[in-house]
Amino acid sequence: MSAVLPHPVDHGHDHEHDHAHGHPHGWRRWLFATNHKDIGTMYLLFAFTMFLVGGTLALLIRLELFQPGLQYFNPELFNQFTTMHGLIMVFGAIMPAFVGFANWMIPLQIGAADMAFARMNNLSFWLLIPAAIMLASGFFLPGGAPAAGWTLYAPLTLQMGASMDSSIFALHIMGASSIMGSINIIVTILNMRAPGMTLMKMPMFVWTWLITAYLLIAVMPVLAGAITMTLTDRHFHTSFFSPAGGGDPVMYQHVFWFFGHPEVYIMILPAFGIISQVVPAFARKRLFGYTSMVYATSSIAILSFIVWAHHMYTTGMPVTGQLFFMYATMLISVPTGVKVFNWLATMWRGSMTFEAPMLWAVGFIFVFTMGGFTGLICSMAPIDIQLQDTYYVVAHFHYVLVAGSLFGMFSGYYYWAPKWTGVMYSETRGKIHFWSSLIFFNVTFFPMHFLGLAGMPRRVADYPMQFADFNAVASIGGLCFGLSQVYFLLFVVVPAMRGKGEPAPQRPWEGAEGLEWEVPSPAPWHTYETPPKLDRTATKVIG
Amino acid sequence: MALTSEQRRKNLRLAVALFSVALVFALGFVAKALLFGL
Repeated sequence: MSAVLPHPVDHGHDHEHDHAHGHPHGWRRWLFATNHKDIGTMYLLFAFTMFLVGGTLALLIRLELFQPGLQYFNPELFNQFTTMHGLIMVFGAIMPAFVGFANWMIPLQIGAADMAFARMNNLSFWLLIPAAIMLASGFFLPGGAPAAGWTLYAPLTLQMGASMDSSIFALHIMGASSIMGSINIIVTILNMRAPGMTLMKMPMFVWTWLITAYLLIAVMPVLAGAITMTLTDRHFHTSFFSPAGGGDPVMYQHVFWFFGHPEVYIMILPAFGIISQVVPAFARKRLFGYTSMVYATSSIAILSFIVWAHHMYTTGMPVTGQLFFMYATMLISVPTGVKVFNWLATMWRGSMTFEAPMLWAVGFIFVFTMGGFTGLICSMAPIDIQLQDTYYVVAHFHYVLVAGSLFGMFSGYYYWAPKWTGVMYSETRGKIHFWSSLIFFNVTFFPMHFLGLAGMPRRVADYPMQFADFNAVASIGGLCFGLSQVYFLLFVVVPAMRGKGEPAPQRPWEGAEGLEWEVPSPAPWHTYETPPKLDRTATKVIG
Repeated sequence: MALTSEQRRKNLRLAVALFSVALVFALGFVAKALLFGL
């Protein structure tokens, strides 16, 4: 399983030379793309588009919640917004964005020419487009978009209109895309590493994606099974989850969260990998505790399978069940703590500078840890029973998913974009983007802790007057956070795509190590066509 | 450099193994619920 490519007989070939033969142009380049860099770019652009769509829905939610009373949308439409916001962000934005990072960086970081299955890679991406259209089209179907929450709980899902069917089909397609992508990533990592790139010399981003891909293969089929059963309950007279026919809606929750909790780690482990690349580069030290990082990531992944019912304390679970899931959940804080302390230890006495990637990484560590702590609070059954379905939970998972996954992605973007585009971003603009995002993220989501503790339920379009002030603050913060991302698009991404900016050197960061920095910027269309010969640390090409 | 047929075979073998795991998780779970109840 840990086979690596054998040394080629001929080492004289210049692997950095960009072979342009057969290089397709125009729309064919993208439609028939098999190059991992092109597919990675398409994934990232798709994810950012979906991020803007999901973000717009979030702003509509915050618009309605700006003041108490029903201003703009009826509660039914509001519930459609919250459901679609969640589905689009999880399945359309975060997951594809990390697959985009994986496509771009994994072959470069392990010295492979491309992904193992280039055509399947193309299919994985292009499946996402019809799936996204089908998901979003729910708004235009009779009855509107699904309004059962992103968790698609039965029996609500059994009562929805036609859009529930299209959404279930969209999730099936996205799941198939994810499974194909995961198989591709695992095979690429296990079979196509350059000679000398042993498993324990792999960059942490590669390690975290290897573990994430296994998680995906284990849990996406479970989600597929659960929503298939929902579909048969809706149309083929089964009663898996329908209490009217003797089914058990709580069982749906168990099955969903058996998928859903590992899914949380699917959305955060690659961000851990990015942070583990960025912090050493800007602290100018090797990553502290590499081996423990690998084991901590594996431990988090394994533990993620035995904590699912902490999402369900209020369903009437026996106390022994509550205790098991409570302690198992608390256990996850141990490997997570190992990772946080290792990042801090890497920074300790390092020769640190704070360019945009490092700012995002430090911001990630600070704010994600806050989300981790509120997660620990929610893990305790007696407290969670009070906090279930309140804005405290909304605050918690946005601290994990926005300050975690999204900040991690921004850190990765600023770190690797010079390699992708061949131009340096404007440091001033990067800093403006970071500080505005950090400030307005906290303005948006920190007050939600107080709202939740005061008892404001989530997924409501209206609320009593006592919650008005914090909601107004959160809405203003949300609008400004959204504008910060538009700033990022217009003043950072678009100039980079147009090639505006200082030409990026091969290794723009003094402390950066790894094979991705051994190829020119922008990375040539073909890289590592012949497996490179690596030094002892597997971070430099020596032949 | 194109992959050798040996490398292709190795890649395919691993992919089929992984795909079968995914298939067993999806179908096995539904079949279990269908035949033996949830």
